[in-house]
Amino acid sequence: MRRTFARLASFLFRGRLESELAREVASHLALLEEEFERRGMSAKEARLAALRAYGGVEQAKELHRDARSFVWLEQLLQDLRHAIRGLAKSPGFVAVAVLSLAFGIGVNTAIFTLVNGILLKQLPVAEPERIVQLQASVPRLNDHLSGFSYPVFRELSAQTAIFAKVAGFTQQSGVLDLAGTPHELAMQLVTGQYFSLFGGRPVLGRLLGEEDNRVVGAPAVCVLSYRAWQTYLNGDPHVLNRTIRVDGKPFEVVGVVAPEFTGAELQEQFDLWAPTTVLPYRDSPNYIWIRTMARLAPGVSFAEARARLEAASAGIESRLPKDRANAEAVYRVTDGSKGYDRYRNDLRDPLVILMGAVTMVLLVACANLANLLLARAHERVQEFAIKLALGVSRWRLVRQLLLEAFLLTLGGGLAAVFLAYRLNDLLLGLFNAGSRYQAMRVAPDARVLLYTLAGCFATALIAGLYPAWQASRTDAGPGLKGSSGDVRRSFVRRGLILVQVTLAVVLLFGASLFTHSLRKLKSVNLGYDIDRVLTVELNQSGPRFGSPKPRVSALPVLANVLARVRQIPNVESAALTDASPLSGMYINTDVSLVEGRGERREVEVARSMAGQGYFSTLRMPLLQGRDFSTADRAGSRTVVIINQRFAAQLGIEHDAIGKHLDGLGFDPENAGGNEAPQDVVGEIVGIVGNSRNRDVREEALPMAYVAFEQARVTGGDLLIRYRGPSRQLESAVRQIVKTEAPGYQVSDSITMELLRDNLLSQDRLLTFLSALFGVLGTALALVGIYGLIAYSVTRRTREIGIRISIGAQRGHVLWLFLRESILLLCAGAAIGTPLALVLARFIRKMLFDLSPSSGMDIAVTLALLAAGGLMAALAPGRRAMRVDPVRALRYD
Amino acid sequence: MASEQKTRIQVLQGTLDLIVLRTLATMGPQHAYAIATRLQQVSDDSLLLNQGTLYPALVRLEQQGWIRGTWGRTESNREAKFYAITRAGQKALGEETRRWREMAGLVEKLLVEER
Repeated sequence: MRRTFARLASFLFRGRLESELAREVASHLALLEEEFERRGMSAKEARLAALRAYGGVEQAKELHRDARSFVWLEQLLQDLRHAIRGLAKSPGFVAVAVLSLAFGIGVNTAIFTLVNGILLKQLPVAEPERIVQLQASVPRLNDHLSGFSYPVFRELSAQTAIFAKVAGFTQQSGVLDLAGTPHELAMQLVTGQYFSLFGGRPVLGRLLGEEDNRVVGAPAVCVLSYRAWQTYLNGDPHVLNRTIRVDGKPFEVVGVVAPEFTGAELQEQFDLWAPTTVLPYRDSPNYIWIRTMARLAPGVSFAEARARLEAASAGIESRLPKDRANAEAVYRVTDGSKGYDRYRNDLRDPLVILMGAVTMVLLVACANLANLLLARAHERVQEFAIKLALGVSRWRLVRQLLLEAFLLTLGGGLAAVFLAYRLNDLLLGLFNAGSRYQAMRVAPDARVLLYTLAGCFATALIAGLYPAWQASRTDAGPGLKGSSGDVRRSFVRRGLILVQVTLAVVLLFGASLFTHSLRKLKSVNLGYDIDRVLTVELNQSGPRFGSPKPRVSALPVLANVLARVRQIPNVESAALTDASPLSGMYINTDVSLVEGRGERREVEVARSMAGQGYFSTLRMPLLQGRDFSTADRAGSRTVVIINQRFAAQLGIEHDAIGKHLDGLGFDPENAGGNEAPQDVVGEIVGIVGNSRNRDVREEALPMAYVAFEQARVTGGDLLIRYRGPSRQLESAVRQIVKTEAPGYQVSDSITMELLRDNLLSQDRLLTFLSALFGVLGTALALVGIYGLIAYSVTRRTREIGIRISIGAQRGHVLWLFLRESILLLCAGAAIGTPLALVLARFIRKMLFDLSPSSGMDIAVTLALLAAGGLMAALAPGRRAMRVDPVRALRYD
Repeated sequence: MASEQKTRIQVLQGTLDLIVLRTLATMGPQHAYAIATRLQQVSDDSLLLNQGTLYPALVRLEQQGWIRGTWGRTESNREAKFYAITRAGQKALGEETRRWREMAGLVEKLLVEER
């Protein structure tokens, strides 16, 4: 230990020690000389005798240095200088190598950033593995839920034998109004133990506790994030007890939480925390909203907690109302060490696939580097031979070359980190694009940087080891004359290109599968036409956290707005609905066919409210009967239109018209503000085509449409089919709402195309990335082919000259090189295609509608690769064709 | 030449440190040349030692803190680096000597028995 330090110190002060050594050796020699002179030798003789007695002076010094310090460290420094000087002499080589590595490592870093942020990172609390997430599974509905009603949450919190702490939370967006400047805020509504569970520390004031979360409707308090405090309130130190307004509601600021606080979700960033008491309907057993996490009680293991909670489920259920939503649930704990699982489950498989893809890209880049290094080593045979002849050990030569490779990968790694930051922003933007409900945030951290560094090391080893080893085997004799064993090396170089082409084929294969899948998803016939349809959500305005009082019917106001919207010049047609298709809102209800006698069978159906003109606006075909008309209004006979699938399910495809459905479950407009949905009976007046209302992938559901104009509503969505740009239309609609509907606000406005795209955010991300990786892999492979052929042309210039001078056709010379590229491409396709087919099984789940036409896509992509490969070979090949035999024969 | 070399012994790996320590302990502070001369005298010139090979041993011992070197002047008024054994060196010398004796005894025992 002590010696290690001493040796390190010697390394640092090696200059001083070196001169001291010289001094000591000189004095030693002088003493020896003196002795010999004393024995009667002449000065000259004595000098020689002294040197003899001493032994080799330089060897002794070298031994001294070995013992004094770490030789390898000193040599490393020398080699480092040497490598930098060497690389600086070939900037072109460095640029190509660093650039291809930057891309190869960059995409790895970017994807690993996601993997790290979503799959690996743990909550920054003590013993994160003791944090669990609570779930309910409802066997009756065959559903797993991570949201609860507040009464359920209360029951779960009472399980103190299982949990030490239980915290509930939900997310909301709000608009902070500061002296007329609105700021969009991400808010989290939390229960009393939230901050103590997730380890918050106030930098100002206090955090929220149980007291704040008791009474619904009590004056609201809030805690600000450090960022929000700095950004919106300029870090005002007197912010405590100040009242800020969010969505019009006053919140008293009681504290600011430390900047490192992340809370329950590692991928989200919140600006403000408030107690759940601000939600007027908090205590309703039918309102499912609260997400719950807990810390296990001391001494309780995960398995015990799981078993105990499942056993306690029956007791919990017995204390809760029977007729509430999601009754008869079984409660479970799942791993919560990585925070609330919002993305983890969905993104695990895609991320693993992407990690595989970027590894392939990196391997292609590695092969490029290896090839470049081999070519470079080939040019340096003479240099190596001289070094070896001068006594440089082979091992040191290997080390020098590996160091060069590492310097290159390190340069690539630096550029890669820069690239990864850009790419990360781009990916998150793409993933969150246009979405109102998600704002995933992940950033590179120390672990990501470490990963990148490890990647650089690995790359340098993988790509650099073989070329370095080859170089170290240079034969000093022939090497000095500039020749070397060519056959094996060019074999390896071709092998590397083959690996590149194969991987490029696999990557392109994947890219075309994803692209095909996304295109298919976008062209799915939804049963309605989403092109140029704007949806505008209208709600009664006022504080969102108001008191739960029955609201006035919105129908007359909405009807008026609709009439005005229809007059806008660019509007083709418009209609009202309770929730636009694809908006993610849907209501299921159990209905039954009313027939003369016999028992009624209840069938679950998705129920929507369709205003007059709904089907024509969405261009849904009316198959039988009639559409809703102006005659279907409040007070008139309740009518219902069903879709084909529901008719088939009920077995009334041919005689549906005139039959009655019971249990439509809505407030009729003339019922006068009753709270509970009525078991309304309606007469079937028409059958419309099927439509995919919930999701693009999901088959059309059985649907029942009631007339919007017959229902009692508090708001609704306007569906507007338009011509021209949507932006103008949007402002026109907002203007109409402002003048015609005081007390109402546009809470959202989005085209149906965007609604559809939001549902495809994951597919979009995968398509974009797979395409990026495909293109990158291909580009790197093409660079590889180009490099191989160009190099081989250069090396064979003399041979080409001889061939031409003895009469070879120029076309034949070109063919010589094209053939090589074609062979490599064919071999790559021959290996890559079956490999890709095997790997395709892993992404099957993520693909939509794999049909023979995807084979077409693949063929086209591969043809493009082949064309690229030929082009890459053609450029140097043409150079070969133009070789002048006279000059070529003099070439060396 | 050949017969002469037969009678000379190579310094056993790792024993040079012990020998140097012992020399410094008995003779007090010495410079490298004096240590080398002393070794040759004691061994009646039968020790095959290039004087330069002393240096790694001196560095090792110095880095371990067992000897300390200071610049001084010889009787003939030449500058030289004098090495002195330290307290830790004294202790190490005892330890190393004991270990060497054990080792030598063991080897000797084995050699006797083999005969």
